[in-house]
Amino acid sequence: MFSSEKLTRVSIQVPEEFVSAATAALARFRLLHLIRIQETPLGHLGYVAKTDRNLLQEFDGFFKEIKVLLDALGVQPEPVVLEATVIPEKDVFKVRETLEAIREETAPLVQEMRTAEQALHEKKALKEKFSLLPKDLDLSRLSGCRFVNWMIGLVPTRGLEKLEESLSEVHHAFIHIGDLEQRAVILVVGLSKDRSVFERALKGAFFDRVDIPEPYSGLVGDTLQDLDSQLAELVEKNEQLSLAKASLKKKFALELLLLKEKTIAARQILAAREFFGKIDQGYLITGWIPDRLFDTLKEELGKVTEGQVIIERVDPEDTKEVRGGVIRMPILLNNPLLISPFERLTGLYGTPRYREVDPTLFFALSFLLMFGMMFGDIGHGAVLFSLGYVIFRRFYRYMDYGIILMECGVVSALFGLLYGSLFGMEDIVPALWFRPLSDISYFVKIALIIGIALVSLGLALNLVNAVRLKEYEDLLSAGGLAGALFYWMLVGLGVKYFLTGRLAPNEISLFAWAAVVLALVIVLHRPLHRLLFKKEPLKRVLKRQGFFTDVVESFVEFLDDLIRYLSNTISFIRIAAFALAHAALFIAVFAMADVVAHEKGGGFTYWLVVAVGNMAIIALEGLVVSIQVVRLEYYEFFSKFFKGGGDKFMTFERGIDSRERSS
Amino acid sequence: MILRALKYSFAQAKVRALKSRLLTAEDWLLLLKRDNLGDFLQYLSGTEYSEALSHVPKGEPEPEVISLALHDDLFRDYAKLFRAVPVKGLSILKSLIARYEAENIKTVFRSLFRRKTLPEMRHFLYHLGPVSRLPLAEMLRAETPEHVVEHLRLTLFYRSLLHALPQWKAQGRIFPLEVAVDMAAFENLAAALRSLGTRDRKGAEILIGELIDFENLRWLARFRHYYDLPAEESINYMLSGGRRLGIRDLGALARSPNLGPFLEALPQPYRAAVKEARDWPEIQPLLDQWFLLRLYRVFRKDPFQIRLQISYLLLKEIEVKTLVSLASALSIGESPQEYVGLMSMPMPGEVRV
Repeated sequence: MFSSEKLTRVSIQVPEEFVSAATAALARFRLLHLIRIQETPLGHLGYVAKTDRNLLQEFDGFFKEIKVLLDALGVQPEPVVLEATVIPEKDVFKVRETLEAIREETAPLVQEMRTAEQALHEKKALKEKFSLLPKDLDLSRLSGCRFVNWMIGLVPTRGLEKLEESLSEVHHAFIHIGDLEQRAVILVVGLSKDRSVFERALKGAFFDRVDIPEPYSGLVGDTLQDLDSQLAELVEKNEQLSLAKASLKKKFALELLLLKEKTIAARQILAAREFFGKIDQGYLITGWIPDRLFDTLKEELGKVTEGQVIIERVDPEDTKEVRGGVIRMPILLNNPLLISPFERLTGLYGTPRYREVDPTLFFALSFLLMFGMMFGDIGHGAVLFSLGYVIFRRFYRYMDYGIILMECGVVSALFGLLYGSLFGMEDIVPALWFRPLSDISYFVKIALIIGIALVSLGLALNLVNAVRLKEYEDLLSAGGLAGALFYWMLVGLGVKYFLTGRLAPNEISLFAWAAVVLALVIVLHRPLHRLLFKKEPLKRVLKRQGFFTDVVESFVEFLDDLIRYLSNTISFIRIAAFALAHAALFIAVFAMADVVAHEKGGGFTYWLVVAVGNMAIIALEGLVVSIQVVRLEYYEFFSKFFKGGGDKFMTFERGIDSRERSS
Repeated sequence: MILRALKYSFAQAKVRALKSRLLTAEDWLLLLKRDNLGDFLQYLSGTEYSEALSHVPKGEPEPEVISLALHDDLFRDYAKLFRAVPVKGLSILKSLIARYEAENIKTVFRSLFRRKTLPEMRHFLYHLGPVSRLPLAEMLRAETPEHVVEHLRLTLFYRSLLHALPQWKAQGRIFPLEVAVDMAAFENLAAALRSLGTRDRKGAEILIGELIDFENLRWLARFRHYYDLPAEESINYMLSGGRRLGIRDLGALARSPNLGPFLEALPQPYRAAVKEARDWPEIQPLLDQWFLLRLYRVFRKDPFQIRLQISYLLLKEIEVKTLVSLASALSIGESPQEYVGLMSMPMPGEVRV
């Protein structure tokens, strides 16, 4: 849990006839971070597998057609399981034939539905146009005009004045009938002999003519009625077609969904070959998998290839490129279900390097603790939990955030119990611990203790990282053991002073001596590292170029880190500050509710203001508190030990997707 | 006044620093004497344009490549001033850059119409970078002008283009879309004036009004006498928000059969500014010369107003356009000195710098 998953590098050799089956097995296995052979020494020698682009394109075409058919028949996407292994070279024929058969049967109906849809669309558009005109406008009378031309249409409202000016030299009349989305509906009337002038002017004015089709004459109101009846007929026809569609859907839905899955799998298998190497008739696949799953993978591959697979496991420690940093190991985090959603938030800061402590667990626990303290209220906790549950159930993509929100809701409610607060009302539930506003200084002390604990944890984790990553120079620096000891001594003295109000002289002198020794170690940590760990002779260390620069740099770093540790600790007072702000906002809401109830009378307005106020607090304060907690985590806690810079583990599917996108 | 001075102190210092880097009269004289493009570019490489020209391939690059590179320098100045001016003044500068966004949209339309490939399309686009918020990547992937318009849904161009789409379909050419884009950009300038404070607005209104007047005159000359568009159509393409030319004046100008009546129909002081024009192409440089004087005059007035930044950007724009014209002349083997009358250069004797 505190480290990323132990990975091992595998090399898989598989004969050509089993490559598709093996790829399908790897796709099912998922937890393989593929390495592109082209980027390895073998790839540079030209042993790279080629993808059959034509076949890939054919499957692309199938995929598009299947999607069109699924849409046309109204089939909802559902997960289906493929029983047999997909072999693209063979399955292309099966998919093609099945699709042809489905197409043959569905094409007439799909075509008919399209035509009916189009007719419905056209009639609706026509009705929309006619609706712009006055109902008592007699189109037959207008059509009968011999010396006068008329046009109905829309022009941008801001262009009306210009249109007027452009027609000022000819006889004309405008009737502004109405407006529609910043356009004016106008009836323009002019003499037939000036028709060309009108057409030119209207062209310039972006005139959108409303064409009245030939069969429509008489009053606009009658035409609208006629259109309504035609629309009703079309709707009825569409309903009949929908029944036919339903029976086709029943017949082909599962088959189409299976075809879709098969096509996706085939595409994936073909695209994966971009990563593979090829030597004679055999394919070479290499990548990283979790060490504990090696046997499972071996067994699975052995099964699908009838034992004709050679799979080798290479311990990263035995790989020269990994030790030398030429090949970077991907990082696969492995946290329990309730903690893993927080990987998204740690991921925003960085991905741990190989062997670096995975900070997710510490992040999750401290996040929830601080959030609960700042946002403690039973009612608000319940609201957050419900919101999180809705996201968890309804929005698959944001499921992680749903879980985080639910957890925040639980801790918020727990602290609500401790504070005795239910939607800001403090007279319903007794406080199991204390009420924040009643003892501010006590709360500040608690916040400082949390600060000291988290900064200390950060320093301790930094020591673990230094040992794990063999960065011994850091142990002696201000950010390492020496700095940590300095900080803890200072904190110890401070705590004793605040508890007892005095410090013994021998304690002060002990601290002073220890401080001098530690400060010297910190300032001289680079030369000391060379002397103690690199075993360089003293003379060479002293005469080394940049000796004094190193010392001065270390001195400045020491002062900087000392101030940073203290300010980081004090920064945690914001936990108390925001908890108090949360409580103070409730006071404001209830005061407002009192005023409104006094002015307007009645209990309804009082509770309305309380409800709206609570919603505002949940939305605004919830956001602010989350930001503050994340800030404390990133700047005050992570900065002590977490450097990041590792590469994220890419599952088989995601690796191929990202490769396809980048190419 | 003190508040204005505080708000604009950095912006005006920035503008003065930028103005001091404009080409000098000596630069112009020496540039005019160059007789080949290589020498011309070499000289410019020793000026403020060195960085912009560093990406231009050596030898005889295409005029379009030079134009884009020189404009890069203008857009860098826009970016600098975006950071320097107070928030309220920013909208008007953004509206000025919208004219170049309009150019990019028109390029995309033309490229689609001529079925150009993606690299060919990119070749002609202004590199607006962070000063523009156009969804360029999506626009370049669009397959029809309608799709382009759809991608512009959140921009100031959308409504205008939406209204022009029926005419595009009816006429089967992209001209209505091009005009609609330009109109949207300029009308947004007039709208941006409304977001300014009273004093800023009064100062900027004059400059923007005159800019719109000149754009209308330029378009009229082009539509009527180069494209041979009828008066009643051209009038509808005129921009509103001009300072001295209302829609009635523009109507009268559009109906002028030739240059004489056209000049007669112009109100003062434009008539005096262009009275020496003997042919249509001469109108633009004469108007530009008159406008240059106006722009320089702004630098002698109250500097704590947005009009100072507008003036500088318009000055720089004229400088860049003149350099592009010179480079184009040289690229076809013509001597720049033959075209001096058709260009606007802030040089001693013609403009008091």
